[in-house]
Parts: sequence; C-alpha cells; structure tokens
Amino acid sequence: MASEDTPAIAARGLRQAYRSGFLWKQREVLRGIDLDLPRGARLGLVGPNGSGKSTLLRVLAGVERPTGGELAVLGGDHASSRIRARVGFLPEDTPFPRELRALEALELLASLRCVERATARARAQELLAAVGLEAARRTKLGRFSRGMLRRFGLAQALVHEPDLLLLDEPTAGLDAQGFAVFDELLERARARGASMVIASHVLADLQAHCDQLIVLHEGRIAAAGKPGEVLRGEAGASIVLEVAGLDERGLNSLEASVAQQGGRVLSRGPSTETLRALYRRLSR
Amino acid sequence: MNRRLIALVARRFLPPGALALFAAALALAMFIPWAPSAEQGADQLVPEVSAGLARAGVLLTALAVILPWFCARAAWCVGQWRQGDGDWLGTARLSRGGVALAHLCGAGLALAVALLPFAFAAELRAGDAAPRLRWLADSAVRPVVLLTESDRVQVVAPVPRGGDVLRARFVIAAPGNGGPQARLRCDIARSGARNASVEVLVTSNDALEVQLAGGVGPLELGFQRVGPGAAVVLESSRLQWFESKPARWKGGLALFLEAWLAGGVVCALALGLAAWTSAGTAFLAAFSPLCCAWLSDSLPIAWPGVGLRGALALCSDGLGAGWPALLTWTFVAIVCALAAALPALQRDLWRREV
Repeated sequence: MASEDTPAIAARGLRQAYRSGFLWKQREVLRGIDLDLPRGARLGLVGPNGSGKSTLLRVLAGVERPTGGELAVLGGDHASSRIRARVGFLPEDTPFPRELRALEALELLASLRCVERATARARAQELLAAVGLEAARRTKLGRFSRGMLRRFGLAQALVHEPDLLLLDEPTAGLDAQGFAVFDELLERARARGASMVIASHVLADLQAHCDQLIVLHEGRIAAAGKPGEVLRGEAGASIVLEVAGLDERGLNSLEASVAQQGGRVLSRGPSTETLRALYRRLSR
Repeated sequence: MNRRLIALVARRFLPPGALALFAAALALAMFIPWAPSAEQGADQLVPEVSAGLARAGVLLTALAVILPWFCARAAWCVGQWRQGDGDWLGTARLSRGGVALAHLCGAGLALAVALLPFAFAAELRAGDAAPRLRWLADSAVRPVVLLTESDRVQVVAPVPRGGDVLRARFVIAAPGNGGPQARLRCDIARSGARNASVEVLVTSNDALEVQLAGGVGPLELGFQRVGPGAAVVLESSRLQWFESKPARWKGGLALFLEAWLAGGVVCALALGLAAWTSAGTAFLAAFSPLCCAWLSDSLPIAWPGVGLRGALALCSDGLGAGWPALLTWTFVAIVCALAAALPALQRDLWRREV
C-alpha cells in the first residue's frame, strides 16, 4: 500500500503514439511528459486543440496504456484495477449509457467502482441532487441535454469519492447555475484532500481551482508553473475584470482610468454572475 | 461479475427494434403451415411427425432472425467500447477479461430471453402430440453388411441409462434378385431377459425398432436377411438409443439448450474476434462455422451448430431431442474463455484517438 506521502501522479518521459492510415503510420500525441503532482494539489492543463490534453488525461485515468515512459498514479500502477477505482474521470464528451435512467446509470457506474449497493444508491441520489438533476433522476440519459450530461458526468466522476480527479473540459456546455455546482463540488473534493487535474480552455476556471498550470503544445510541456506566473509573461495579455455595483457613469469613469494607465478595455457586457443571479431569481 | 453491467448488456442486445422484429417473426411462425395439408398427404403422417415439423419450423424461424442479429450485435460491442464506453468501462474496477465476460453473460441472458417465447410457441404449435421417443445416445458398432441370405452379423452394444428402445437404420446398398427391397430379422439377447426377434421390410431407408423388455448388461443383436432381396447395410454403423414415453418438457428444453449454445458460441466468437479485426470481419468469421454445420454432414458434435442441426432433424422426424453432448458444453466453455481472453490481450482495447 502506498503511503500518503507518495505523489498523486509521478510521470517520467510519458509517451503515447497511435498508428493509423493505410500505411499504419505512427503519430506521436504525447512526446515525453514529466509530471509530479503532490497529494491534494490541483493542476490545470491548457493547450491548443490536438496538443494532447485529453490523451494525457485518458492515460492518467488508466483508460489507455502509454507506449513509453514511466507512470505511477497514487503510488501504484495506473493500469491496475485497484488504482483505477480510486480515480474519478470526466471524459471530454459524455459517452454514458444512453438507455439507462440517470439514477440507474449512476448506480451502475458506482458499482463498477466497487461502491457497495446500499452506499451507491444513497450517494447517487445525493450527487444527483447536488448537481441539480434530482428531478431528472428517472429520465434516460439519451434525453439529457449537453449541459445535463456534463452535470451527470461530474456526478459520476465523484460517486466513488476518488483520491484523484481528472476532468476534461468540465465546464463545457454548463449554464451559469452549472458553474456554481461545479465550483461547489470541486470545493468539496478539495476539502476531502483529493488531487485534481483539470483540462480546460476557460482560464478563469483554472485560475480559480488550480495551484499549478501546465501548457501543452504538440505533446510536450511548453510551460509550467503557478497560473499567474505562466500567463503573466505573455505580451499583450488581457485580463477579465468583473465589476459589480457601478452604474453607467461609474463604468465610464473606470474605463477612462484604464486608458490613463495605458490600457484599453476590450469588451464590456454583463458577466456570468448576472446570469447566475437571474437563474437564482427564476428558481425562487 | 457485475450484475448491473450484465443487465445493461442484455438490454443492449434487445433494443425495441429487435424486439419488434422478433415479435413479427414469432407471429409469422405461428401462422405458417409447417406440416403438409390433407391434400398434400398429411393423413399419411403420424401426429408426432406433424407436431415435430411444426416445432422445428417455429424454432428455425427464431434462429433465422435471432442468430444473425446476436452475432452482429456481439461483433459491434468492441466498436462501442472504442466509441466511448471505454471511457467508463476502462476506469471500472474490472479487468478487461471481466468486462468481456460480463458482455458474454449479458448476451447469453438476452439470447435466452429472445429464444424462450419461440420455445413456448413451438410447443403451442405442436399441439397435444408429444414425441413418442426421445433420443438418448448413439452407439458405434462394427459394420453390418448383409449381401446374401446366409450372411449373419452379430453385434454387441452397451445400453445407455434410461434407454429402452433401440433403432437400427438400414439402407439398400444394391438391388438383389428380389428387387430393391429386403426383409431383415434381428435376434435380441440380453441376460436376465427373454430372447426376442423383430422383422422389418427395408425399401429405401428404414429403421428396425427393438423395444427392450428388462434385463441387465449389454445387448447382443444378430442381424440377418429373410428370403431373397437387396443387399443392405447398417447406416453409419451406429445404433440409436431412445427413451420411450419421455416427459414432454425434456424434448423442448433440449432443443432450447441446443439453440442457446449455438447462439452463445457464435456471440463469443464474434466478440473475441472483434477485438482484433473489424466488426464486419468478426461477424463473417463467427457466423460461417454455423453455416458450415448446416452444409456439412461430417463435422464433430462439438462444432457450433452441429448438435442443433441434429436436434432439429430428430424433431422433424417426430422424435424428442436429447440433452446437448458434454463435448458441446466443453467446446462452448473453451470458446467463451478464449473470447474473454482475446480482448484482454488487446493493448488498444479502449483506444480512441483524441
């Protein structure tokens, strides 16, 4: 049994390649990834499409076996079923059994990760309520919208209370209320001491939930460090500033002070918090 | 083994579209006249044969729609794993072999559910006529060739448990001085029982039937021709043993089991092969042994579909089928084990390039 001091992820020279096409040509997707994630740490993954984020998460989750390098997850072999059952994985798309009702599907996924029958039912009901799908627990997953499937995906990744959480584009397709659910569930997992790896294109998510950031480019780590450090160095970098409680005059004055400091306001419009407030009012 | 996963797989093998197709086939099988009508000479058929033809007809209809669907669905399982199921199956606390085995169990369960209504419908179509005899075993004996009146061949055959009727099927080998027919006599001796003798007229392919009347140990049979006639030989050098007045459910259950085993082995082959080839290739490779069993007479009993074909042939003759052979069960178990191992050996089982 690995001690709690062992890192959640220790990878050395991790490689993943696929062969495809008529000539069975090899294409390298991961080209030597070195990664150390301490227990309880939260890592963000960014990179352009095709940079290998999803593949890296699938390898870490044990869904795929790497073609090269060394990998230890939670102090053990990432491919062993014992370790896999301690990892929660939210895949990029949501390929869960469409013919099952939400509660049935969540109970199935819990049982596949060795959660006891009675516990599985209770936890499935609790998680469906937490992600706002309680009313839809008897609806088949095939009838779910994309956002509902993402919420379900979050619930299934957490149903066995994993020690390592791997989330691929967790907020894609979520509405404002979904963002709040996501924040809350991640906070609960963090409080439990779970380690996390989140791949996302939404920098605000990564900045809010991660204490380390890795930029992947063509299967290699192009930059790594604290989110602020990694992003600060970029020439012409822009930031999002959400402001509340100012009227039109106040906003104009703020814009003028930005201009005085040599900056410029790129866009101005209602923030996601406005939508959240609207949904909260509607649900009341 | 995860029961919920097995139930999900079974559900996937029986989607509403497939259920509707099976229901239509069942309705069709209930109305097709399987036995010849009175104008076609039905009055010459004994009721057991008419009932047997109806039974076999309903089951053949079932097999014609169910087996191709199950084979195709099993071959498509691995494709489904690679199209997304692998993301949650791959993170389960189940080995790859365990996942494959759960799929085989689900397929077997769904196959049983699909076959059961046809098995009941077959009995319903057969009406009140239950088979008079149920096949138990075949005994290989030395060749029996009776060319002249003076030829007499003695054979000794062990009696299987429960067997009380023996059939020896003779065929005309060459026409003799009495035309293309011959009268045969069989003298029967068994310790503890009175000696007896039976005669039969062989015109093309006719069976000599012996009813045992007690006794213990092996049976001694003496075959000889009576009077002038054609040369006759014992077909395939084997004797068939039957149980008389069998319980009706035994024949029906035996047919069901043969169909289930044939379907099961086809599904297992398709699933195992699909891990290494395309779904289409796996389907063809898994289904072709079954077609071979229907086309060839010389395949071993363990070959997928051979036992089923034999059981259906007995059924069409108005006889009850026997339990599937131990060799058939063993072969199915071996194929299932291999089918579970083949996906486990595939490195890129859940592979989905992203």
